[in-house]
Amino acid sequence: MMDKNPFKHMRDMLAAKPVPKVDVKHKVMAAIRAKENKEEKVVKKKIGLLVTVGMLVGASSVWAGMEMIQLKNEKGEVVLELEQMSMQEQQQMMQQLSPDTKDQIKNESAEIFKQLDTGEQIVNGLKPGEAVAIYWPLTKLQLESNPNSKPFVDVRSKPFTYTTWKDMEQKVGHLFKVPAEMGTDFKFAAGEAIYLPSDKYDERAMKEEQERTKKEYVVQPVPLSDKLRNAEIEYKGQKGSAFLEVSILDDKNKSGGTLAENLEKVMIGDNEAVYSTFAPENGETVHSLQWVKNGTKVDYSLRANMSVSTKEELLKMAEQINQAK
Amino acid sequence: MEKTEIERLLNEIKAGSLEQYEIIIDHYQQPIFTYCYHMLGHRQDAEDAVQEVLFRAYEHLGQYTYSLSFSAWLYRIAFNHCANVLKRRKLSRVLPFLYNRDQDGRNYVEESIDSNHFGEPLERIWKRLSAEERTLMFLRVLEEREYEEIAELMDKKPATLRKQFERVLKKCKRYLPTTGGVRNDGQKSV
Repeated sequence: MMDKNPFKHMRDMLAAKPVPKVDVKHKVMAAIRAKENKEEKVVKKKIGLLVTVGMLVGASSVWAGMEMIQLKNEKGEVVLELEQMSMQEQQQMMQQLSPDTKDQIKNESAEIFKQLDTGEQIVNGLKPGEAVAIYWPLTKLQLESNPNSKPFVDVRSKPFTYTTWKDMEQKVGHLFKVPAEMGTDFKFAAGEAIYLPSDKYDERAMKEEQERTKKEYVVQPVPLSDKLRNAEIEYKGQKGSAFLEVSILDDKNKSGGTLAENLEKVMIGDNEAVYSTFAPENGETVHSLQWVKNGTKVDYSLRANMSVSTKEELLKMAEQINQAK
Repeated sequence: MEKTEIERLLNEIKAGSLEQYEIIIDHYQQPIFTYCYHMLGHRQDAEDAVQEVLFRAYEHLGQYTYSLSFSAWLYRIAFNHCANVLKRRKLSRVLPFLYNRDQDGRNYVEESIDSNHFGEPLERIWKRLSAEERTLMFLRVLEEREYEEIAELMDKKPATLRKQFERVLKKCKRYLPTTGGVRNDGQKSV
């Protein structure tokens, strides 16, 4: 005999099966954050491109990759990749844009430049080592361009500055070494160490404050992290200055682009390096050497006008930097 | 959670307050898991499904227009996901060489409804129901929802659902345990 009430029977059977408890919140949020970070990087790249295209509208440049040069360490591992960018391609890309797009890019770039300039002014008023997050609400233009735009939070810090290597060494000496003097007559003249600000700012609070007060932007102090973004040192000689930029690479951060016209792989002792020259439209030709010191993750970039040093002098200075203890 | 409260949260999330989505997850994860668990009859698949549903919902939040309740919208995403999983399982039985493994290496040929949770005779009945029929049974029988509510969720007319439910119930009745016995293939043995 069949059951007369299948509804009840089915309900009893389904209800009799206990359903386990589940908590997937952390997994879902982690997946979303991972995706957001990836998108944020893409957005940042796009902003970078827009700024560059904007510069082109104002008669400068946007570029596309041409060829890659790789530097390897003493173990044969790739430590740095540099992509050469082409000026011709910049111009071609720009010509392909419609007049409307050019206008839009120009206007958006103007907004971005204004925000960046304001950020610069705010940082000028800080003490060395202080950092701020600047919250910019979305502008009409940004929303028109992309309804899914996110407000721009500009996080900046004021660099620590030094007039002697001895002082600077106390701060960054555990990360890298440089000589106080090098080449024929180049002497340490000024140094800056820029540390990454912490990303622990309260965007929600800044957003609420901005909405409440209708301020153009909202500034929130943030602590500084202990991670060096980069350091820059000026060495002065009789003919002019040479500049050394130092950063510590991580695994995600070993590729970059250059607008240099000529790239050439050279050796600094047993260390691979890239020698490049770049001739700006209105200025002197600059040459530079970039390398990652063998056995370390320290990325050095030494540059000077060609009237200030010869290629041989630049290579000699690089050797001295590599030998500094 | 009140409709206005959900809408407030969704607006904040759309405006960039990601952390508010945790409240949404806390509120909906168990009901959606329960639904997926009944649809798929397998704990791990159901857990994967609820993650996927909540992740996809966040990704496509911009497309949610408030024309139906957020809960109904989530169930629709969950239904589509579960229907796909079930379809893949079915294909894996028909074409085992092509579909015997998913991207995580899980073998769907070997996998059946989780007998620890869905024992006989429910398993026997459940295996014969389509994704839509399972949804209807779950919502109507277990959750005791009204046809109007189910109609919103399944994007069908209440009257159509009522008829469909009657048909499903008859189908279930054929496989329910009887004193006379029913063979596994659904044919009466006596």
